Amino acid sequence: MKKMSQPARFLTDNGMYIVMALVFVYFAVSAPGFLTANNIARIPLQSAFVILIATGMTMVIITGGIDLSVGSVVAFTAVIFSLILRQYAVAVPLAILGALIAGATSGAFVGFFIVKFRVPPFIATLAMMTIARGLARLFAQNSKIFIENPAIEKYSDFIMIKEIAITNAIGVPYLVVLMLAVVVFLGLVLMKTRFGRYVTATGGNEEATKLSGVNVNQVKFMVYVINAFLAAVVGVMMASKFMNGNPEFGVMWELDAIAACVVGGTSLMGGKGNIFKTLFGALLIGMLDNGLLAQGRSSEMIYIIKGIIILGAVIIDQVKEK
Amino acid sequence: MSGSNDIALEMRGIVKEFPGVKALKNVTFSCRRGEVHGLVGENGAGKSTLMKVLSGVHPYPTYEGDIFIKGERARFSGAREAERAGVAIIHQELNLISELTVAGNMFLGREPAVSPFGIINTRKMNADALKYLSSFNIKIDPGAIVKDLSVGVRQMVEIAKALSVNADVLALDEPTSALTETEVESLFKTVRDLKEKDVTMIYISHKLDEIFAICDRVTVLRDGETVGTYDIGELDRDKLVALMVGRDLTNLYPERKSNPGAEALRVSDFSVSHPFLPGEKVVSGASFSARHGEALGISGLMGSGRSELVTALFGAFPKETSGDVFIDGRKVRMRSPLEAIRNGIGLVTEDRKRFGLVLIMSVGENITLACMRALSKLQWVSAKKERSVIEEYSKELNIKAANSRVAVNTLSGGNQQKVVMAKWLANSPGILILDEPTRGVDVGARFEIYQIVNKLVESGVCVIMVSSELQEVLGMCDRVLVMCEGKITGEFTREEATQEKIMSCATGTMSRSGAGAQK
Repeated sequence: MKKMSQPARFLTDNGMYIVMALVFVYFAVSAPGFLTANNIARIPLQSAFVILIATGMTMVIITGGIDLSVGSVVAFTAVIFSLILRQYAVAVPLAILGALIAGATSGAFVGFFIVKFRVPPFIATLAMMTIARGLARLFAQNSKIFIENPAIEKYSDFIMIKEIAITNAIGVPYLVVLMLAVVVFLGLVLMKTRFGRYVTATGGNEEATKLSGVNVNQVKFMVYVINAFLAAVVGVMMASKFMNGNPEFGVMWELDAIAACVVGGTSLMGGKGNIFKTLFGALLIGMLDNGLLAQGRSSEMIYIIKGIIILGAVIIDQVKEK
Repeated sequence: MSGSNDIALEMRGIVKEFPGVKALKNVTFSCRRGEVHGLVGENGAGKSTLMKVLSGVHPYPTYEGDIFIKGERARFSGAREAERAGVAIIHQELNLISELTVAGNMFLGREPAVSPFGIINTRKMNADALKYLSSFNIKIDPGAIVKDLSVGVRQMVEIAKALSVNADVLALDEPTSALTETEVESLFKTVRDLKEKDVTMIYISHKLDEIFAICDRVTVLRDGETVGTYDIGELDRDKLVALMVGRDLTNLYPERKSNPGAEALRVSDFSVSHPFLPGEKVVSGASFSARHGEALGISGLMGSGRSELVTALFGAFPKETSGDVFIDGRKVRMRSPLEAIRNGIGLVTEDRKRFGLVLIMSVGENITLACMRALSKLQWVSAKKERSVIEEYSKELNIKAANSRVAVNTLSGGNQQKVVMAKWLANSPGILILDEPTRGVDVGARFEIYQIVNKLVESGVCVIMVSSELQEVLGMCDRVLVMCEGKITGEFTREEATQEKIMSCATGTMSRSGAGAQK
């Protein structure tokens, strides 16, 4: 509880935004082509998939858990979606529904094992990470499943296929619109609803929350279902964007999502976090990717610099806690 | 008293500010070498903060004022440096590693190594530990694993650990809050032995009997200021309490009109089986009833099954519980705390930090946690309704916090307890169970809690109060049940109850038939 001077407090309270502004200015000066409307607009688009997962991940982490399975669930559901469309000439919404159900089911399994058998979330989701990846490869027979179904043409305005991924009438990609809608919706769920309050309380002190009449098992179960459901949404969109279901989609995305949460100030101890800050955390990481690439850095360097920035952001947060 | 005048430690004009609060305004505190110096004051008076300043937890220069240890100016940059200067604190929450041995804990971080590879010389370590332990007459096996030891013994280990790093100023912060009578006795013996060896001790406690039993001098703090330092001989209990609260407390237990109404709760043949030992019962065949507008006390020693009984009544152990429960004449089944809440029961748990509060959430969020359903429509929480509930109960219970958005762990123990009570009052319970409601709560807040209890009872709530403090049970309750080894062994009305009768039922020395109106 060290007493901080006014400017020091301002700096640490807004650490992430300040780092973001500095990074922005730095790239604007040093990276040719970074500061163009087109490029800036690309950042949220490029980050959208990770942001969608990271919103669900924020909830999971706030309950004191972790979910390593979502990257694999993206691939699994993308394969399921593509498979349904190819094998059975069903309408696209049905295929979407199938993929979403498959995703939510994988989350339900994880939640069930965590709640019922007290399997630590790290282990339960690690298991689901390999299982879902294995299933994706099995169903796809280790190759991509190309979507060859006239039905998808018919719904091209509705789901997010190639052009739609880029832009809509007013120049904002549907993907970004959907991403923002999910962020706002779940952000409000977390801050303004009973369920959201229970999520925070469960992570803060599970025993005390249980004794306050909250069904904490239900809360924990639900966050994994929500997270896996969002991964399935991403899986469907990935398959639509690339017109195939690739069992290698989403490798390591769970880690990108966790990084976004942590940079956004979510505590891995549980009980503390904010989805809107996760959004900015993910955008910061996205901006780094984009800017470093624009500077012409190699991918190895991008990895290293990203790691350092993630560390820095968390250190600022720790200093603030003191 | 050592009689010598040399000063072991002196703190002058200590001022410590936290954002929004001045925790210490101008504290002067000094200890003579080899004395046991009591430090008393209500929660929030600044005792813990003062000790944190002394032990370097609040390092120089985050406070103002001067500290002198054995005449030398001390400006500690951290707890390590304070330890090197011979100042150690034994905290309320013990800091031992439960999987290590006693010796392993004592020599943590400075284990004697047997070889250049850093393999620990366990034999030497145990021998060294034994040397320290026996030199202070502490009889503990250095090879014992800490988790197998009782809280009292662990405390001794902590003390031995501090002494083994040559501490000669030792602060004990509420050392007896979780100890049994015998353990308190042996702690006192150790304290006296240490005093013989010229160790200076600061003894912080809410239990004034202990202060009178063990201390040579007492310093009283109130609202971050030193009221004064007194020889124990010039004080008596009432005087000391008056100094602490700054007013005369003529009666520790406020008056209440007793007017019990209809039966609120009836429990018959209620048993709770042991969670790990099949066949064992922590509560067996308990039957009793309680009425609206009545305060029913449940007394008994630690481990007698009191807490298990009330926690099971609250639906926390559905699988282990058997027996019938009637509320307002209706037979009910409570398989979860939620069902208990729906039946109008509230439970203020014994250990508020573990079971009562979400410490990192705000005061307001803690108050409304158990009544979220009433404050929300289709999941959406009405901010307006929530604010009004928080305001109402913060005011009613006189919760002292900068505002309702601060984290509840910034509050003093008494105020934290009031937050737990507010949480249940916000649910308007018909039956409120209080398990050790005044543990770790200072005199002033205690009185306020008693007043709240009385108000509830007068308004027709059935209050069930579990307490280890006989005086509290006798002072507050209309009727007292006594438990021993999981059974109800006695029942007394307020008029017939005495400390002796309760103790003999609690220790099982009185037969059931002799124990009053047991049904």
